[in-house]
Amino acid sequence: MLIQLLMNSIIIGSVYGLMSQSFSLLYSTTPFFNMTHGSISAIAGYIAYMFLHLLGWNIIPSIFIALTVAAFFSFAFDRYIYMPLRQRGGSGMILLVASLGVYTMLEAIITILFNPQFKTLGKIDSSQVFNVFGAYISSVQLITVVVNLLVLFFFIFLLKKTLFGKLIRAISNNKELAFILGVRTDLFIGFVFGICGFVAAIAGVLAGFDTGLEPVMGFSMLFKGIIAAIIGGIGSVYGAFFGALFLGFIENLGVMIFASEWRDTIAFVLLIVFLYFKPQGIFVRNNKL
Amino acid sequence: MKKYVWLVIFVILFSVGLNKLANNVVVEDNSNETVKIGLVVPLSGNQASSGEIFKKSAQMAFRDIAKKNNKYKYELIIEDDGFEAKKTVSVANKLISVDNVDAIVSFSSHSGNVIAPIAQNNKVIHISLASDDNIAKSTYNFINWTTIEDEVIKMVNKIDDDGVKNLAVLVVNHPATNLMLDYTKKHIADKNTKISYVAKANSGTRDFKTIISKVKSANPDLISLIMFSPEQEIFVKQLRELGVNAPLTSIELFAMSNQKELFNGSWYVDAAVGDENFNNQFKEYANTDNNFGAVFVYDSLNMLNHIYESTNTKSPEVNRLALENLKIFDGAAGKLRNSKNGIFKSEASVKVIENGKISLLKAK
Repeated sequence: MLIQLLMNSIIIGSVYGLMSQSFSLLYSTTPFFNMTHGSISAIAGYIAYMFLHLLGWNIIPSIFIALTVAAFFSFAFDRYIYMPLRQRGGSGMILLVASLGVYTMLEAIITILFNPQFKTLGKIDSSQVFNVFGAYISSVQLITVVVNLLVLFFFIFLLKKTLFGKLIRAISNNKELAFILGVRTDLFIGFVFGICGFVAAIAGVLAGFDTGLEPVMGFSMLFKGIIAAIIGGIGSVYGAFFGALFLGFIENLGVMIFASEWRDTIAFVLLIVFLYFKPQGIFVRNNKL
Repeated sequence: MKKYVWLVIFVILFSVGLNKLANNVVVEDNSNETVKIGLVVPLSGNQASSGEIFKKSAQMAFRDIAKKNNKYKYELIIEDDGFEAKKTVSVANKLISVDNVDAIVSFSSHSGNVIAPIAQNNKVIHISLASDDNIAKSTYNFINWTTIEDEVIKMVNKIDDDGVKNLAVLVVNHPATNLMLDYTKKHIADKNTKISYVAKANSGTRDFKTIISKVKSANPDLISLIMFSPEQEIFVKQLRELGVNAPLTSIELFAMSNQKELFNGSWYVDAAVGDENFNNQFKEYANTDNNFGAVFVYDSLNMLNHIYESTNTKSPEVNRLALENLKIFDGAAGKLRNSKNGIFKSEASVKVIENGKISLLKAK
């Protein structure tokens, strides 16, 4: 049972990790709690559903279009909603409220277009299952774990080894100075929105195959991602990755010891404990990415 | 000139006289009064497929009611509450204050509990197709459904007959499902079956893997799964992924699933079923094999028709008293016996799912 507990922790930690890593990177460039980020994952899931099930397309192009369109939505939200607000001196609170409004609107649109009934991307009982050292993991869950790891490597490579990453780190450290030095900060922030939207979209599509789609799915995924990011150290992709795994483990341990009803309570208690005792998170020093 | 003045006076007097005469003439009024009945069911959301069944059954009931020689006209007003409490409040208030319905029929315990006080305060008869006895506590509220306790007793007896030694019970936190759990614990106490594991999950839970690991350790012969959709589908999927192949059973909820093939081979206890005549008629009318709960809508509306026709008045108090005093009603679900506290009882049924289709379990 312990091995299965660890496996369960890794699986759910990977789901949280996709959201937390993308949220962390996003937050490092535009420090506000972007609620729309959760609905990007829902948008991707439903677009994939539309192409796969309603239009009968093949799985690969359906997923590709879903991810690309969702990423574009993320970029567009920044371009046409958040960037104008930032340019007018909007505070983090104003941006948060704006993002909440956009989230609510998107959830309503998804509900109207697709109805709130639960849907799945794949056939719900069609996953292949693997036995890894006595613990079971389905093919979709294995893909989630692997993708989460790949996203971490991608972000590390992007931030450390590319010029783009250097510029993002510069913006994260001091946006005004980067602007003065000639960096087109708004454009690069837009690109970050697009990239992070792409990663959130991956989380949505994988969730659609594993546990199904609902219009409200984005909020709970984002919320756990935010908690994981705070635990790991907000603004750090390493921190977000390990924070997510830690959150997944503590939640599952709590369910094992107490009961499933306590899962969300445990997550909240953990958040409060970290905010109180270690608000900078486990991995962040000097607020660097 | 004088001639014309007299003519005008005559015309005026004649008109006034004619008008007075007209008002005193009793013209036989051939239009019947209308009894309005509101139906509150989920036509959107996760329970929409069940809601469609109830809607079709109500329409079929009204078709049959219209064929009778009624004193009253009957009008059906259908509202969608999406299986959400805040919508239920809104549609119930609309039916009462805007549509001025005489009676409401609703589905499910949570809708019934929401509508009950509204119906009571506004003196509107309310028949709830639900198994939570609390709904019928006040005088204008009634229940027409197989009670939870009767369904649990049926399930427990079958489990005992099947020789199940070790039972796991998984429920989602909800008043009705918690009641099912409580009754299960109560009635299984004197049987040979032991409950080896119980777990509750909150609605909205999507990761059951750790609970399932504990179920696996308990090694049950049978799992009683009392969860709504989509929790029950996700749970079963994760259950099979984790290599737990114990058979499943439930109370009613498998019938609400849109992916019944997940429960192939499983038996479960359901509310009463209609007689063969009703089932065939409904299948033809609604063009579906799924008749979950249809007979209760049908019988409830026919009961209301019977009451209003027998009392010959639309008085809420008279009709509610008539319904309260109705000891037995011969419905399509058999004899519905009024248990004197506003609950019309019918016998639970045992069904099985094969190839994604539901049928009555044949006795061995």
